[in-house]
Amino acid sequence: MSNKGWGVIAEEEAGDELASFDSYTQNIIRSALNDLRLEDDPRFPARRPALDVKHLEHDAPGWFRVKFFNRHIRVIYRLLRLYSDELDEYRYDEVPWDGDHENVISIVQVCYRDDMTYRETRRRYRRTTR
Amino acid sequence: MTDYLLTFSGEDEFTAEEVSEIRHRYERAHAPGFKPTFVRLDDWLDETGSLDTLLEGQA
Repeated sequence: MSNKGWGVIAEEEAGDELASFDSYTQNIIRSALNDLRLEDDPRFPARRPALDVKHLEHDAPGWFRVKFFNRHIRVIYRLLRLYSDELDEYRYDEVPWDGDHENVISIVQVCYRDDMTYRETRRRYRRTTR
Repeated sequence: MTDYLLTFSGEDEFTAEEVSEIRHRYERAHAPGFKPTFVRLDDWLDETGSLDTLLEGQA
C-alpha cells in the first residue's frame, strides 16, 4: 500500500448522493474516509478501531458500511483492484495485496438510514453486473 | 466465492432467484473488461479539489 493509502472512488450515483449532503456532513464523511483509506484493510479497521464498520452479510455479502456516531448516515463501500483497463472486486476472504493495480475503496451508496436503505443497497448489489 | 455464496442460499434474506442473480453478479464482476462508471474522490479527500468540480468532470 502506498503511503497515501487506498484510492477512493464513488460509483455511479454515489458521488451525487455525497454532494447532496451539507458541507458539515460532508466533512464528517471525509474525515472517516481519510481514516479508512489509511487502513491496511478498510474492511477491518485496526488503526482506528472506533470506526463503526460492519459487513453487510445479509444484504450485500462482501460489501461494508460505516456509520457515524449519533448520526443516521451510512456510507456503503467495497474494495476493488483497479487495473488500467479493468477492475476486480476483493472477495470477502481475500487479503488486499500490492501489485500491478491500484487498490481503491469504492463507494456504492451514501444515504441516511431508513427502512429503504438496504433494499436500495440490494438493488445496487444486483445491478452491478447489469 | 461460490461456497461463500452458498452459505447464504438458505437465508431468508434471499430468494433462490436472488441467490442466482448474486452468483451471476460475481461471475460478471470478475470477468475481464467489466468496469462501472466512477469518479475519483482523492482530491476532495485531500481538500485540494471540490466535490462539485470532480462530479462535473465526470459528466
